[in-house]
Amino acid sequence: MLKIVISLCLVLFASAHCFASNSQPIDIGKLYEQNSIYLQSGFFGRTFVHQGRSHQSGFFNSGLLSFMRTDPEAYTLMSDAISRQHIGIIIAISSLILIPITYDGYNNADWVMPLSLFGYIGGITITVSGLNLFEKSIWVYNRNMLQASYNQSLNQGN
Amino acid sequence: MFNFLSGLLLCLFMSFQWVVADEISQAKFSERYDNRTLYLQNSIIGYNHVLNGKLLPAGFFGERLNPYMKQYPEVNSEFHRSINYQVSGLLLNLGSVLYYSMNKEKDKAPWISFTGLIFGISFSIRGSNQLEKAVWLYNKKTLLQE
Repeated sequence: MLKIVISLCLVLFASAHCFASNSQPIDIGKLYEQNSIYLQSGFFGRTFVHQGRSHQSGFFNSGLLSFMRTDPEAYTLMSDAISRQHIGIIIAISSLILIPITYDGYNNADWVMPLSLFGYIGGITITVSGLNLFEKSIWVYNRNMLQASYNQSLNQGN
Repeated sequence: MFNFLSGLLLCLFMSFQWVVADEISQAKFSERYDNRTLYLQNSIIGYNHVLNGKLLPAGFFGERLNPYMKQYPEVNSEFHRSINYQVSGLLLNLGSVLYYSMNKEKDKAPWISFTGLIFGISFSIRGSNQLEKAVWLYNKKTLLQE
């Protein structure tokens, strides 16, 4: 009889444990608002919004980059994105500067204009690819942060 | 003894079920994020978007995102505000350039044109920011949906 009671108690304990863990569903919306970010632009550079507050991205996005240090995957993507943007801008500006530098007072050499145009288009393309990688890194950051906080909530529930 | 063992086994089985259920929900959650959420990409003419790993066009102002955005009223209002700001910005910019080219000889033309451009650029920036926010909101809503 005692064994039956003990086994029943065990079953009841297990059932209660199961129901208790499922009684408080994880608020995904709240986790999303607390952990995700999104970008905003302005006349004087970028900002990002975290937990409803706007933060400056900093000089050459250094502020945003240090904010993303918590997630190595997003951090690597963001570093690549920033490097690409800088390289693209330098190439585009250099291509434009080439025109007045090589101007001899009458005209430019034949190779200058095609090279300048090619460099400018190439620079802009690299910059846009950097911007796109920037957007992707934010998406990856949000995913990883959300996943980590979701897993943490599950473990706390356990 | 048999009852005790069966109880213990049942207990272990239920605990196992519980752990497995959590693992599945973690995987499902990750899958849900990857499959349902989207992010913007820039293109030569307007925007693209990435959904479920695929690069798809989003239109000049992002207007081709409408089928996603209209599912949620809150997201839809942000989205349409974004389109309105972007269209107004473009019209103001074009209008300012056009006005200057037609009234170069007038003293006030550069200032009127410059003011128009400042407003136009501000509206365009505001519009693209609203679009970023709309996408962020959409991702939230789509994650919440069962």
